[in-house]
Amino acid sequence: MGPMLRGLRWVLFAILLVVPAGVVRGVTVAALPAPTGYVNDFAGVLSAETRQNLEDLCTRVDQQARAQIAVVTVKSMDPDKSGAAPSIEEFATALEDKWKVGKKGTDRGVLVIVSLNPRKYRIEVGYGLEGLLNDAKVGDIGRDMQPYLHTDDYNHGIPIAVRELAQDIAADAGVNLGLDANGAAPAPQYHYENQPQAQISPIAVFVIAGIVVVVIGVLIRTGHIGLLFFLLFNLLGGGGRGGGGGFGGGGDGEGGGGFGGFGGGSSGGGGASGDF
Amino acid sequence: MKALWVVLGVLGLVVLVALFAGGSYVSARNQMVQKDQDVQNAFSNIDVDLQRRADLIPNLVATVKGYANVEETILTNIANARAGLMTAQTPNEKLAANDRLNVALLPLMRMQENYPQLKSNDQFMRLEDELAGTENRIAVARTRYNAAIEDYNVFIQQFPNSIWAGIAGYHPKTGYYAADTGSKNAPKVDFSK
Repeated sequence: MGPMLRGLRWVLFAILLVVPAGVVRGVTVAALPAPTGYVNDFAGVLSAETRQNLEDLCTRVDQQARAQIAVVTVKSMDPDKSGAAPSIEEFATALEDKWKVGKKGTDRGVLVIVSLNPRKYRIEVGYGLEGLLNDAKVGDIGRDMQPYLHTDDYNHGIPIAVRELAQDIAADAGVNLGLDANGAAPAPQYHYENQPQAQISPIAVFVIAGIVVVVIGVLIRTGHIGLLFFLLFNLLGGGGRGGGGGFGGGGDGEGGGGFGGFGGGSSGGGGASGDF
Repeated sequence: MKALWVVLGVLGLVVLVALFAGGSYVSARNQMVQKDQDVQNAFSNIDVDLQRRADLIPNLVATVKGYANVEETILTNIANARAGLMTAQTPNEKLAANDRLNVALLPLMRMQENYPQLKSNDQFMRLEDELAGTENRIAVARTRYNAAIEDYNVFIQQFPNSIWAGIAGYHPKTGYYAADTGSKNAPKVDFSK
């Protein structure tokens, strides 16, 4: 009886953990999980193929033109702590504050948000791209995508907007994204030649581990082990004080290709939105 | 001999307290300088957007006039409100002037809905995008301005900062800017005109 009850309790616990994650598709900004890639289809309206194409395109833009495009779909936007349901503009600003699309310092980030209920879209432009993607241009891009969204054809509509944004950014940065006739990007070239540098040989690992063990041993024998903790806490404290940088790898997504996390970008409400 | 130790002890205590107080004062004062600057920066962001908005208004008026017959009083009101925004000096004056401009623009915004050719005009739609974008920027900048002021006010009213703020002459800022009162009551639309 006892073990069974205990087992049941664990099952219930697991259900409690899993169920909310399944039902709540990140409807408040605070509840949205960290981004898993450039494309975050929380509403589940994009096909796997579209998602992959968009990821490839955004990766290229990030690597070659140094600008980050984030695509987000949500089913709805629920009230945050304040109680009132946010407008898509408020939602976009809050999300940008949270995810910090774009690199810190350059603020070259764009957020494409599509909400199914209410049926609204917004393209939020980071400070660093405001000069290039002015509100009027972004409004035009939104209107190009709007008819497709209106007929629930998200797999056509969203790529149209992302492609136009990517082309504008690439043209400004003077790079060729190498899009094919359909405007699809070839799979990004990962810089494999860079990777051996990052790899550490097993011998080096052993040597470093040996040094660390010896240093710790010496510290313990001489009674200075406290020094280690002092250094550790200093490092941790310093990291915490740095703050503001958001999550993710910051500037290090460059060599390895793929999604390296968004940087520390910010926006001030630039961009355009609309109904569909 | 014993008296000397007592005196020395008291003296040491006084020095210690003075050191702590001095350190606390310097640290609090530096933070107040920073937060005060943050508030000013936050306002200058609003200011940029207000200016941008004022620059866009003549374009809007010209475009609408090209399609529709706009009453002279509406245009005069807009021109006056815009001039008020351009001449306002302090943050509060500017924000109040911006609200008056909102009110003056309302009739123009209402009119557009009666002119389908205007609404579907590419140039006009882009102008609307710019205006809407600017208004959204103002809203965002306002939120951040409020947050900066709140941060500053909370900081200087906490103990012991409250003491140091009084000495250093930092007072709570009253410019806390809530959403314009006009936006709380829905605008009245007079269809008889």
